[in-house]
Amino acid sequence: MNCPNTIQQAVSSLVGCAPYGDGFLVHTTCLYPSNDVVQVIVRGGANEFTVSDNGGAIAAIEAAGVDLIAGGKSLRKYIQTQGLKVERGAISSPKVSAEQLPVAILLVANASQEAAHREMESRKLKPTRDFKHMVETLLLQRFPDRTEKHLTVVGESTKQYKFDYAVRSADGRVLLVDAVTPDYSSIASAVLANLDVRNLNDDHFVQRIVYDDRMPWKAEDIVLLHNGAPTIPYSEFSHSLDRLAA
Amino acid sequence: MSVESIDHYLRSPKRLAGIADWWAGNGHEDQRIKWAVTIQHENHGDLTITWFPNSPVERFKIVLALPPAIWRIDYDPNDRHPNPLSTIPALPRGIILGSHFHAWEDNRHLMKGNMPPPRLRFARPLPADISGLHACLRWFCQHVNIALDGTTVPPPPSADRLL
Repeated sequence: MNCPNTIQQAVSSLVGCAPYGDGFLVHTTCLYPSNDVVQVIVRGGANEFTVSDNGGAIAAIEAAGVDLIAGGKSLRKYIQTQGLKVERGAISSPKVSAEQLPVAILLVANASQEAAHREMESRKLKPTRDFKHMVETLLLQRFPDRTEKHLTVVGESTKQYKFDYAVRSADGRVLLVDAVTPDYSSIASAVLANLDVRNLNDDHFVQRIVYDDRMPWKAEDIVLLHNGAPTIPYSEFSHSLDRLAA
Repeated sequence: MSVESIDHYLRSPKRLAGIADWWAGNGHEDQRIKWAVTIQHENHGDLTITWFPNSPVERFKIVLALPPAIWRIDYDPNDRHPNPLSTIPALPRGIILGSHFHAWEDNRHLMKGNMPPPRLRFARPLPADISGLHACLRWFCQHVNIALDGTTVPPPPSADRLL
């Protein structure tokens, strides 16, 4: 039984090839996280070809608002077992023959798709850097000459702690701010540092823990944070700053 | 953060802060420019343009991110984008060919808990009369209520290789 025309046309419309610069752009059936079609570029001719995702995986991740600081290095774990490589931010194949070309197109497209999906999944769990950046930006805008990063304070136990940010007020008080996201290590280190410094009973330190209220929190974790220092949700941080750092 | 707070954010008058310039991005031969987005001088999110100078056709992305991204234009005549089958009636059901945009309004129903959806799966074709970087940026900023007066966009970098 032959495949009906309607189905044949649907299938053939999904893939295609068109000239593109020094190569050919191939549409595949793979999708990036926001449903954009994965496209690869095939270069070469006769019996030697290379296939590249043209940086599509990184572009897809960063188009979601995620800064991929490590660039292409982040993608290596997705390609090594497939005999592919990452060059200048693009997933690409080594030189392949015409016989290997279909496999190379499949592998590059799927690796690009997988890298984008899995990186975005993992980034969702690591919002710390973005949150600290938000807190830092706010502090530097409000108190550009009085904000310090990573101020080291010696706690009551004589252990040293680095606070994310410190803002010095005119009367000599120092506002110590830790920016915290809902993961265990972030919570534990902030509580420990703030408890130990609080036990100094030194009035010139004003301690606050700012938590990322864009994320879901367990009530008990907020309570735990409060054992270290008074907490402020980020959405209210701006309003609190004038009073705290006056 | 709730759906309503992002709706409110998009309705609020915003500006782009500071003087920005292009720099080499983390990706494959891309160039970026980024501005902090401010509401009454407070930073809330950022706007990034990613430009692909070596592309044989004009190609760029404009992203408004809190993060994650809540509004995006993918400008590329070769792009293809299928919407999910559960698409809302006003959205295209076939594969969108060419430049398109992912609006918050079409994706806000994907929000779970108090985090915006990390994937803007739903898109619409870019209107045919919106063409080129500057027109797209103006159109984008109108839709997300960012005033561009006083903002200068330096000319995007040219190709840095011959082939």
